[in-house]
Amino acid sequence: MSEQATIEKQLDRQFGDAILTHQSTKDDVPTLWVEKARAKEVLAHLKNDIDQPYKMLYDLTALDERDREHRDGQPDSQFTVLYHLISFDRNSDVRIKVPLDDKYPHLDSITDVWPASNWYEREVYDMFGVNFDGHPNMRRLLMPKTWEGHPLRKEHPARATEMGQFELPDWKHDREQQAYEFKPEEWGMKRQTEDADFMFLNLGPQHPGTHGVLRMILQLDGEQLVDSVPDVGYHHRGAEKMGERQSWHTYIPYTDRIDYLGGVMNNFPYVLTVEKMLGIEVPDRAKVIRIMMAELFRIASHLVWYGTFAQDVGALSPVFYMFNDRERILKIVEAVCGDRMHPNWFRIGGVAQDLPEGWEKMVQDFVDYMPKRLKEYDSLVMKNKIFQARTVDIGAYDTEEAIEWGITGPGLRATGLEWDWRKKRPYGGYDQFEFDIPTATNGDSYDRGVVRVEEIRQSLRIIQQCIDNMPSGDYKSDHPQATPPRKEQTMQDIETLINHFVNVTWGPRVPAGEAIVSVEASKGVNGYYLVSDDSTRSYRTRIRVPSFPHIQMVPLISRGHTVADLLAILGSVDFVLADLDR
Amino acid sequence: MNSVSYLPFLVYIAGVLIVVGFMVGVTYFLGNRHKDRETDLPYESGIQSTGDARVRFSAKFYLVAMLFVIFDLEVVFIFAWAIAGKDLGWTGYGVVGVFVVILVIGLIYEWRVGALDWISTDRKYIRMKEVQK
Amino acid sequence: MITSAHTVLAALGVLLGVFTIAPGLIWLERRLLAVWQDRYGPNRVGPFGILQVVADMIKIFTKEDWVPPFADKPVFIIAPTIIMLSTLMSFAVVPVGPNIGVIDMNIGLLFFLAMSSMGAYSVVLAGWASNNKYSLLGGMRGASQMISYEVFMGLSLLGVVLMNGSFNLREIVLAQEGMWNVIPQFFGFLIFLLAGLAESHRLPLDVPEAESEIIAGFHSEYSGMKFGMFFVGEYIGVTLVSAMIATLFFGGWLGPWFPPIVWMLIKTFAFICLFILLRASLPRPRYDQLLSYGWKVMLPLAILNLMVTGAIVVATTG
Repeated sequence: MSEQATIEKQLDRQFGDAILTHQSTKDDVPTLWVEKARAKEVLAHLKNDIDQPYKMLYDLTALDERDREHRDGQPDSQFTVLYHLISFDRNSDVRIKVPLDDKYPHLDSITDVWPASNWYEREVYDMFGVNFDGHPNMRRLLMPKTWEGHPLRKEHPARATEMGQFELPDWKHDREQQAYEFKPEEWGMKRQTEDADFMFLNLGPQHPGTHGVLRMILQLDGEQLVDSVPDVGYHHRGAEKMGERQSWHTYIPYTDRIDYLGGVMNNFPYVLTVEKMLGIEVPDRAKVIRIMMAELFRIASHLVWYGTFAQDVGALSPVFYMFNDRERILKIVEAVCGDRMHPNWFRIGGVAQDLPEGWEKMVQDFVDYMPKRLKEYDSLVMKNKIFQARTVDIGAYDTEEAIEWGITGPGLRATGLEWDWRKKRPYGGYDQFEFDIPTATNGDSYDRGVVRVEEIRQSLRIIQQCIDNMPSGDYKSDHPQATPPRKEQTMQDIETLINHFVNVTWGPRVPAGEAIVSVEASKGVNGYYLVSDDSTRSYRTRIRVPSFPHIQMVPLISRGHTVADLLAILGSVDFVLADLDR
Repeated sequence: MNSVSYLPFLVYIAGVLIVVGFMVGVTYFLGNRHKDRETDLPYESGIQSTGDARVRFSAKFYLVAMLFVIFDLEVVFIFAWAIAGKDLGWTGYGVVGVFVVILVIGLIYEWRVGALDWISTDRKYIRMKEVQK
Repeated sequence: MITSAHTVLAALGVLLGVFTIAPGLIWLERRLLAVWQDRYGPNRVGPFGILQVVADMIKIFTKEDWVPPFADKPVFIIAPTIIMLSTLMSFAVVPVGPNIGVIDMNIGLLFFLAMSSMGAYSVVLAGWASNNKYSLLGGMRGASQMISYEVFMGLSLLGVVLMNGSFNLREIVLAQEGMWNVIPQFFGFLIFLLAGLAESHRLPLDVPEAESEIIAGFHSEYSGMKFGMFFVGEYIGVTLVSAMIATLFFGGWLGPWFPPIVWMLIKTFAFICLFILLRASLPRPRYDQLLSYGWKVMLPLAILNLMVTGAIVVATTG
């Protein structure tokens, strides 16, 4: 806390008038409003000039403030751009907000301070129509080139019914097709050298190796990559916009579908953030249930990664074994949650139900079964010489680059930095568990694999502790805002009945404020930044996803490798396009 | 087996040609036909191509082809020795030995000059953005 | 007259046999892979799903015969026939039994090598004629891979030729009466096995069509029976390489108790299963790694094998 106060004081001293105000938030992240003209200077200062600098641009997003009623003490602003920075040396965050008072505002790009801000700024432009001066490629990122309007602006319709009937006549079809055509000149790429032509190859969106609808445009010299441009957004579903139309409670199922391999892991940061804003303390049993389910899903997600990674480098069989094992996890998930991939299981204040009878045996069987299989997979995949030849030294980066580009999760730990949100900033009760943070040293494709495989073992350790120490008690909080409220009392007295009725129909009303809670999800750090305007639904739902920065970095780490290596890199990065595009 | 009859061989060739011809031809009559807007575009992951596949392809292919020609021709000479190796005795072995030594020297030379490394793994190249300019 | 009718029938029998085995292999491979991968495989059509082959054949024959308008049409059509022709022609010299086979050629081994190197054309031409970038990449990979491994394939067999002093496959088989060639020519066998795998470009050495990298490689634009011909050609290639391994290194039809042809089939199928097992268990090396491995390891090894064999042969006869 004191350290955070110091940084605020330091900035006040250094920049004086440029700091407009300090805002207090529910998540206690020091939040400073900075004048537009000097925002870039302040950010560069935080990154480069201070002791224990804020090296990682964790998130960059914007907020359409025009419909907001409760903005007590905040400077006038129609659109606010906010930067969320992390310092690993301090283990603390800072949030810089820049008020913009135009209908179609613009401000300085920070791409020359953080190269990673490139995509984030494009996303903000795409979604809000905020222009960044000096950005090398100010064009849409997620929406199609032909899209009209900027979806996250409040005047943009949110429902298909508000947009007229969708039609695809031939002229429109042709226009869309042509919009997809890649023009190297737009990206400053040459078409040929003196003695050879570059081949521009569309790898994806319909490609068996890209794990979904990712499009990479490759500039090839023979088989070697000169450069590449990822084109994303084919899986965009407007999850953040939907957040503004759903009640706090009914948004939970949508979170399942962000990283669709992560299941309840997606519910976790969302409910934690809402609970933080409501001040709900979750009972111990619910905490342990959550951790157990989250770790099961971490294993399930890593198993999918393991199998598909092996398949990307040509091994045909491992994916079948690993999906079989994943099936065992999904059976447990089905027994507990009633659903498999999208369990929609966490609730504001706890979980949906108590664990079913006999859960101990099911989970224990799995925990006993898995280590033997992992050993087998080691010899099948990780110790295979061909596999090593394909992945060692491929797509390597060091810790500094990882932080620079916003890499989190196994990709960060593979570079040797022992950093796990579960340990460094324990959330949801992780401080009560014993486990190690696996790391590796080279940060290449193989090491990312090593870290994930070891994480499976650590997750098994956590699950074992959950089985051995499952606390008794309630699975959901007694807090009046816990949703849906527990039903025991409803038939006895009218107050609880009313409370139940209101809470089920409208859900909780969250007091005005904002917060972000991040969790160590299977692919990296996933966080929900929620803004409430004292209402029964979110004013702004920002989902900070790991796949986004990870894919942004792929062109850098794949440069000079071959097409085959690129697929190995994509496999090792472990991304989900639903997670990237939201 | 003094006189080999070529009749079965000719029949076999005829049979092979008929079967293969049948396979190529019959789908022309059996297969259906369709024509959609994008039927006649080359497949490139569902996106319109930037340029076509007729490029001046910078392949190390040329090098492989040269190596192949060199070594496969040498192998042909060795074949001639191999069939008569027993009869030619140590003299033949010595001659072929000299031949093979020259061949191996050639191989070592190619190895040394890097003709057998198909991808430049130079770390500098891997992160070289200047290629664009 | 009777004998010539007999031999003509035998020749047609070989053709029929090849065309029964090749589609049968599709079924066998799918079932075996399924067993090794903890799943069922085709099991609905007919007993053990064996009629799946028939169903697939009917399907593929009635698929659209599409020739891309942007392709080089004659070459596009010829390319898949080349692989069929070259592998089928190679079978002419394979001695299935003491008296069964299409032709007893005294340069049988050379004929086999000549024919199998034709297969490279199929891949290159298909890749080029398709006028598709993925096909081009696949074609280039295929060309480099297949001609590289061609060299080692020839060299690896020279040890056998030296020992037996003949290119005639029948004589090579008969010479193995006392001891199978695999024992003195173990390295030759290994190199030939790998070269054969590369020649038939099957996983793990399927870089010309590497699915997860370049979609379907050289046959990306092929559909219907023309695609089917690459497919069947690949299986005939596998059968051919297995039969050649059996013939050259494992005594061909020689063996006790059973009739010769049964032994030949058993040995051939054993190697087919080995090919399938390799496919199930290994990842795919990168294209340049495969080439480097060939030139830097296989070639020196093949030369060494040849010279050592030569010295021993000359010394023992000398």
